[in-house]
Amino acid sequence: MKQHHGLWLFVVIGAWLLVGAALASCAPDTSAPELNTEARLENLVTPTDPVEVAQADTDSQAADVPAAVTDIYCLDCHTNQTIMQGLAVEEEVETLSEGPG
Amino acid sequence: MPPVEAWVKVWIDEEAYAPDVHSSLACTACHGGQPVRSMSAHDGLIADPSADPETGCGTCHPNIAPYAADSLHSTLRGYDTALYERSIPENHDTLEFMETYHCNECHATCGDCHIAQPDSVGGGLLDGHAFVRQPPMSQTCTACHGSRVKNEYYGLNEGIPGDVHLRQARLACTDCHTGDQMHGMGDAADANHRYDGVREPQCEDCHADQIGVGSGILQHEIHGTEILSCQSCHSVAYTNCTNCHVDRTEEDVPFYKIEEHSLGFYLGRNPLRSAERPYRYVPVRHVPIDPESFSAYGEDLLPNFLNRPTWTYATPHNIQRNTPQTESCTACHGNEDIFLTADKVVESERAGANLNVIVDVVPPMPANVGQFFTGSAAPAEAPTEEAGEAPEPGTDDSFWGADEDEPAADETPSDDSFWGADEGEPAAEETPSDDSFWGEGDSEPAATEESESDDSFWGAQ
Repeated sequence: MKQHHGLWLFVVIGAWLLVGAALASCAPDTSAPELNTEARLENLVTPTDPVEVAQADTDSQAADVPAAVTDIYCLDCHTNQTIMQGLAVEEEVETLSEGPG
Repeated sequence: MPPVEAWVKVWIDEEAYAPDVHSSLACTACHGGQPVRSMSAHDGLIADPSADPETGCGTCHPNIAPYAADSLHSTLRGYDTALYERSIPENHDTLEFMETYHCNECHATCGDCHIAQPDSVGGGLLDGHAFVRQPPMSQTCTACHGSRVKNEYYGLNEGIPGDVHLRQARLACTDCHTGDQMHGMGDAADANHRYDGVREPQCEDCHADQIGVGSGILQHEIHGTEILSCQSCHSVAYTNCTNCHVDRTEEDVPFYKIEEHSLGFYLGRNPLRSAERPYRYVPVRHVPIDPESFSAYGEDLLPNFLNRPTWTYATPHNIQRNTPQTESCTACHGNEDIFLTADKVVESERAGANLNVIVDVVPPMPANVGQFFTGSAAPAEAPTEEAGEAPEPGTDDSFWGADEDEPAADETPSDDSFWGADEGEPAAEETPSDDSFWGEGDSEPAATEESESDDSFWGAQ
């Protein structure tokens, strides 16, 4: 009798889990979109020689495909510390002024 | 200011920025640029969308942005006010051209305070592109106001402690200088200069019960509210600069050179005397100007150089409860060292508007000084309009020095307010403790909520 009772409990719990999984799959996805990590890796620039942003090739613009969510393109690079360190160019500021300013 | 590495200036900290309401906007909504995944995304980029506050921020902040766009921080109108007064209209274009090299870097946009450090110190995001409601003072306020205000307030001038408001209360700039003032709103809306219009902030905002007659503080009872500004007694030596010259290198790099600067404290006659600033004496500071300051841009650009004093109204940010001036009556009365007498002004500047600042006769010690301390000072000796008495030598004028610069009749401080209308006896013991300085007997004011975090207070270093 005890064995029957345990089997019955197992079947009920299993059924609940199946129903729960089915409902979850129908619910809208409210999670924040994840950043495209693959794209980050593809665009990763090994920091050898710094590349000036202003000197970037702009001719390739025609080949670029407009994105549905432009933020992704911006954030893919600008949230990536490694990419930023590789691209950023340190400016040497010449200080000629004298006295408290 | 420690330099910010180039990559930090363009790196967005996801953790910091994601909770910010502005992160719900598309990057291109503010910054423009191209919706592509390449460097050409930067084509047409607007690095600082708030450079035009109304288009950059005004859509969502219409109650602030238009005012900020017309504020002194944005327009730098204060420079024009000061320079134009020393010049003539024919020179204004040349001076404005000069300003594009040497002054406009101080122009502050919304973003220069709320998102990034100002350009004048090289920029750099404050908190990974998160918007900071209360700008951290070390990274924003004193980044620009560094040479004087920062050194004074932080106590960086050798031998001079920092301002009591910092040392004891850890007040940040924004605790006294409100958003309205910074954004050019309210009373600050029409100001053409920092000391134009309503006096803001006011010591009275926090110390109302400790000022002037009725305060129960003997020195305040005696001096009232219209003879001396608070800083006259409670500030100490500050930086005075002379002979600033600006120029550019052959590579068009602007630079300036201040030939001389020194610490000093001088009480002068108030050049801005009005109902708003009725004080007869105030600390005065030599500003870094010279008739030839801009000679690299043209000859005789400041033909009316002394239309405006070179020793100007000053509000040093190194307030102390005890200063050399508060040590004794003779620290000021009869002490020529502390007053801006003619011998302290270079000969070429002993003219024009400076004559309204230079102290001709140092206020002597009054003959009846003892009566103040016994409480028997006779207001009758001080001329009052009600009594119809004319000023007599040895009374009010001799005490404070001849007043050659009385404000208009409706602005004239009444003797009642000076002597106290009720002739009440000043309290005998008037050595306010630190508690009384901060009012209401509170031992020490709690730091403001914003000030509790070292990061938000000092700015991340």
